[in-house]
Amino acid sequence: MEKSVEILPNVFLDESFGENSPNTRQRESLYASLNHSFVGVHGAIEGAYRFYADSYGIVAHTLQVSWLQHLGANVILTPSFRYYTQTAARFYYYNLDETSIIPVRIPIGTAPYYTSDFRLSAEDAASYGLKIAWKASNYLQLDASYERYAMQGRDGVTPASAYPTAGISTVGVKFLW
Amino acid sequence: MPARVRPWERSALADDIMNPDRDPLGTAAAEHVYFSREPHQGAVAWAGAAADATEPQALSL
Repeated sequence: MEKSVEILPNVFLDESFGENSPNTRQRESLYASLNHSFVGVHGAIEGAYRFYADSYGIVAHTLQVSWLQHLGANVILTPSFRYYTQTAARFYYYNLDETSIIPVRIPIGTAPYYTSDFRLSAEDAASYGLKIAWKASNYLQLDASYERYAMQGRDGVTPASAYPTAGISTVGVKFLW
Repeated sequence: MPARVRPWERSALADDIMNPDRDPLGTAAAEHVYFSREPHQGAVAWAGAAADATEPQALSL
């Protein structure tokens, strides 16, 4: 957390302070998912939605849609798309310069709260991926997936460089006995 | 209430692609990746997901 502090008359210095968040956080979420089979094409669609809200003032929605396609008897190919969006915590500031908040050296967990953690800013993330699962035998299943993930801020203040993009690779091996 | 699933539809329902919990470990791994960047947590239908995720704490004194 940065704030420009007047250390002498008309002499300002940018100083860093620790984040000060509430000591407690109440989280609520609701999740619903729906699968629908398309027998004629050996596929199914899966849609999932999650609502999330917490006492920091963050409200988030997640939507994920996947298509599950059988290729032959032993392979399932799954392209998917995921979208996530959240509002900012009510005490998120990129810096404290335009505020009347006087930050403390050691976080005390009582108001006024402030954070510049990008994860608590207004942001969206979109990703798309592809997964292939292969039932190699009755005892062995293998899967591999790749997902492209990109997050971006919505507040117009926090720099774009704060938000990550990622390539996510996963390999899974499942033994059954 | 009469069952709305027809007998010949039961095999479709038994198919792995109709099971949201077909890969709980993969789901947990994906949730962990998301959770390190997004503060939302919980309420995934299948077991284990995000339950062991530790909340990242930012502290820069």
